[in-house]
Amino acid sequence: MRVYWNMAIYEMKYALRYRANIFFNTMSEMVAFFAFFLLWRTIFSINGTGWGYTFREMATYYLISNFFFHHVPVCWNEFSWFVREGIMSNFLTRPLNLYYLYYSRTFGAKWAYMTSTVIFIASMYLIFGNFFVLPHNIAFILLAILFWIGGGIIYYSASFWVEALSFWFEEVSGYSNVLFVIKSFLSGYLIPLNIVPFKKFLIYQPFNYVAYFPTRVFMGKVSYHEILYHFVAMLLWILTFWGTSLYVLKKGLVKYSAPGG
Amino acid sequence: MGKTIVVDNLKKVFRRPIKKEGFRGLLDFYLRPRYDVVEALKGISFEAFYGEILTILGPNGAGKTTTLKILSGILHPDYGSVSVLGHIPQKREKAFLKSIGFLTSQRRFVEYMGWDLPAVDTFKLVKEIYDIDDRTFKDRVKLLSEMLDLDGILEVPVRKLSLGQRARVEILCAILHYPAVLFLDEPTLGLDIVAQKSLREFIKEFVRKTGTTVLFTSHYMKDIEALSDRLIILNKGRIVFQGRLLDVYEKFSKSKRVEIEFEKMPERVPFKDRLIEMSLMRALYRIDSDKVTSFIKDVVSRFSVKDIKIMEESLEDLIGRIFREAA
Repeated sequence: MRVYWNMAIYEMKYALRYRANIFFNTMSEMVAFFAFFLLWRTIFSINGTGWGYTFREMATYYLISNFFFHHVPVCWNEFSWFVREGIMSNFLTRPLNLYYLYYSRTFGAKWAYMTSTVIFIASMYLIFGNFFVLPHNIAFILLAILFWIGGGIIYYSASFWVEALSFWFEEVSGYSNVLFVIKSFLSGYLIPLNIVPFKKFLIYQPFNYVAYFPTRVFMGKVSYHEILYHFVAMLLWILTFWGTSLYVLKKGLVKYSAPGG
Repeated sequence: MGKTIVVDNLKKVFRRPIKKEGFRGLLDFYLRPRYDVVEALKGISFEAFYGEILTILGPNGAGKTTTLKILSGILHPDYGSVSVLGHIPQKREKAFLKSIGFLTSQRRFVEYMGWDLPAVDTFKLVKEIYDIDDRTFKDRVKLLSEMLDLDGILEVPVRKLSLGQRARVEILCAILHYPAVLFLDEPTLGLDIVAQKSLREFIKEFVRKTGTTVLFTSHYMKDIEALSDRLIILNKGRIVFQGRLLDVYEKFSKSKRVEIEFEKMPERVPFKDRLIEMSLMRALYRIDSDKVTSFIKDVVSRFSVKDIKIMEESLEDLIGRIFREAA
């Protein structure tokens, strides 16, 4: 455990070496948020109300889900590149589990970038407080973070699966792109899941915990009964994704051909 | 002397895609993918012992790196058994991985982990990976950086280091945990002559101090002459020789090199059929081992000779001939 914690710290340090890069990364998230903000402002100015959300709630939804979506851990494409080129051999000869290794690395790097986004969100609340709603109490914020971490493990595991397919297919960037598009839609990042068709199905699928559900918890729009129910459901999803990821890794390592010198 | 490595009848087969050139070839591969099978290892067996430096030598594609990769648990064998320090490498047990070190010929751990950071940051990470205590870590970094002439550059970002410095940083990173078995895949590749020599001296000194078993591959005869306790010669996945370096001469050397220095140069070059090279008053001959005495008698009786030197066939020539004969 200490090894992976140090690995996360190491990656955080690595990510923090270029300040301007962190700033522009946050800028890209801000641009995405403002695009959604303006789109829904236009929709609300025509309709007046929308699908159980007030405009302030919708603006808050995008501010928070934008944060959750962009900072969810993901297994880097570097994984498949290392497998394809044989560079992974350098890691396989050390007492490291690739699943936890990449999780701690991406986790560390995400934390480095997250800091400036948190400052951005806090600034938005301070300057444009009228446009957003605040959670009723701190417990909702903590629960939202808990669900988001769970969603992060689920999405990380899914991306790890895809990257681990490189043991069989070598080049998997196309597969990763498909997963990203699925995540964008099924996480509720593009549009809240409760206002699209098949919502009953969509709010029980695993990627819902990446952004949609934690955001709803943050906003206090979920009952305690739902929280309990989704907590159990999320744990089951985590176990499934975690277990199958380790299984795919185990099988993949047998297929690894370690090309190159 | 205890065994650290036992390899028995090891076989490994690779499947390679065969693609014809151009777009047509690509399309053809889409519709009818074809593969050929390469037998990288055809049933090799050998052992290694504590504190031994064992060299694996062979032409490109002989199976040297494949052997190291199987022994370190990176690749899975198709047949046969492998035991390293009593472990089956492919199980990737923590105790096993903590007691081996592997320096690939690409040497990329430090580069990929911390290209923009000072090497010492990556060393600290390695310290955590192998659970090395603070005191031991400090002592080892000091000792090894002195031995590898890395003083003063560990705080410099890795990308600012020269190729030779990066190679030495990678070596330090591979042995910081003092592995019981160390795999070195062409460790001197890409280094200048001075760096090669100092690395050879370092490996010898390291083994003397730690009792580590070293398995290394190399194309450089100087590495082999300077380091090998024993030698394995691989060719096309088969062992064609294993034993001490001296045994190579005994088993394969069929001739000796005889250098004659004449008092007065003969009018015509004598024994032209056995001549290797000629310069001023000297002539170098390749003579069958059992005919050296009679050859010298013949020379002395017919010419005025100042000096005679008898030398073994050069290792490079000898190994080259072994490869050709095995092919």
